[in-house]
Amino acid sequence: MEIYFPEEIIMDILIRLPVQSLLRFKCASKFWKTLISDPSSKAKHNNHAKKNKRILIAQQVPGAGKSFYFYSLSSLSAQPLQKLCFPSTHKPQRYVILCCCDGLCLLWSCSGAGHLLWNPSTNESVEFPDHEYPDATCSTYGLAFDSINDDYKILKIDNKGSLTSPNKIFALKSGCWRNIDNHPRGLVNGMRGDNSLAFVRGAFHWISKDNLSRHFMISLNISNEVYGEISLPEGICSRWICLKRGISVLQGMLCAYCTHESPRGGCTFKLWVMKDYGVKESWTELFGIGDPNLYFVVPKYWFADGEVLLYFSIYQNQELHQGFRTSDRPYEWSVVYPGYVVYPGYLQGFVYTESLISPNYLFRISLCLIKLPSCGFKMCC
Amino acid sequence: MVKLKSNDDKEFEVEEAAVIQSEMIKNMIEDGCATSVIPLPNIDSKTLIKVIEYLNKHINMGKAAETGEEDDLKEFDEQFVNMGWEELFDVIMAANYLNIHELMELCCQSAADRLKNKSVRAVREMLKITNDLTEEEEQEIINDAPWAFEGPEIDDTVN
Repeated sequence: MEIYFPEEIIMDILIRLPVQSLLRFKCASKFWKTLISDPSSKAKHNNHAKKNKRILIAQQVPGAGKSFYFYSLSSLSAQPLQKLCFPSTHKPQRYVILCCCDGLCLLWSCSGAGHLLWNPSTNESVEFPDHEYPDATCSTYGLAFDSINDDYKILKIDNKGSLTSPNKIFALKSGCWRNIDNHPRGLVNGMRGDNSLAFVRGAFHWISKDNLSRHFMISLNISNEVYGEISLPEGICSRWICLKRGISVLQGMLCAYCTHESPRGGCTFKLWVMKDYGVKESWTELFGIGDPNLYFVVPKYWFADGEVLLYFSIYQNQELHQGFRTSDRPYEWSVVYPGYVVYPGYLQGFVYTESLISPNYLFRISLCLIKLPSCGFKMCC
Repeated sequence: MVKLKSNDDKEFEVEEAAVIQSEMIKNMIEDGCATSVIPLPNIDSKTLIKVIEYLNKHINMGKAAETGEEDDLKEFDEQFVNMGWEELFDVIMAANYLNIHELMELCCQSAADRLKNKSVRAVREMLKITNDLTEEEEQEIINDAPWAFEGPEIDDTVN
């Protein structure tokens, strides 16, 4: 029997295939090549693939360089799935991950080459310089899709707490960094690149403080660039010295976390979740972890079984150990680095959904719209 | 009871509660167009028997969650998609025509699971695709993502 498949059925199957299979099946015929390369297919695939999460790991082993991997995302253990190819014209050891969204990953080069927008699943990338602010470790980044303007946007906020450094937005279709007004009383403090800006309900969220050192949460809507304020949970601003506090999104809900010194020595990590967006009374403490050697913790993912994946750093025997664990039990692997690591880049992990979305395609749109000689894009495959 | 007729003229009686999982038939019943036998010109009796088996098992999907029968249903689904490739495609076409969302999901996922590690040659054969790419065009696609064409998991068999 000759089987005839309508295009909609082919599409229903195609969106369920991993990116690697789709890249291979482009070779099946002209029709398949066109179908898989089509931006609307890529968007449909992306929407479906959001259920299928993994962790993108950047791991630097002293003397052996840096490699990027996909690891499985499970509350029981992390298994390496794939060692990733890196764009051939770039050296992976020079790059740190800043943020991820829809299969796209924003990297920053510590050798001054600027930013690289990379799709690790297809290994397509595009680089763009950022001459003005060469040090990404002083900034926190977020990458998100602005569904109203149908564009991906990068937000960069400065962490030095200086009012002279404006927040900046890079809309991929415009192809340039643009300054935006800072929050009228927001002074950002102490955030570092081991987590990206939390994005939920069309807005980025982060912790800021006013000039009386009172902490609060700022939101910035990426479509209309309007700021908002959300109260933090009681207890996040304790009188003990705070090593790290921040905002994440877990299961679509805002979470606030902090690691502070505890009165009995050592450090304590606490995590709160805001069950109803914007409702202060809905802040609920999820759990706390006390550990004499704890340095800091960043929550990364909330599994269906209730476990939370945590990126942690502990300081033991003058060595900094970085790795992942869940709220209940240690993960199977962690990485040990000698000495004190002052900025991220040795072990990083971001929850990632693979996609076919092409950074080149996004930039081609911007290049067709306007020509900006100062922006000097360079595309690589 | 609702009567369904396959394209090889066989009639099947199905409980209304089961058959309304098909959006198409549900709409027909609601519009009063299902008074006698519903002819299904695109579906043969062999495929229709499979579809009805699925509908009868999934009749009380909502209740399954309450009574802890989810595992049972999961096991049924696993067994259900354990069929030949062409048979699976007949069920997909029927599920698409009858608009049975859950069945479509189940079978398309099974099709994707079977295809994901296949070689290009195997996929062409399984989906009856005629290759109209030139060798140069093929090589260009391979050069763009050589890792997608390598690896021990790539399976050249057709089944």
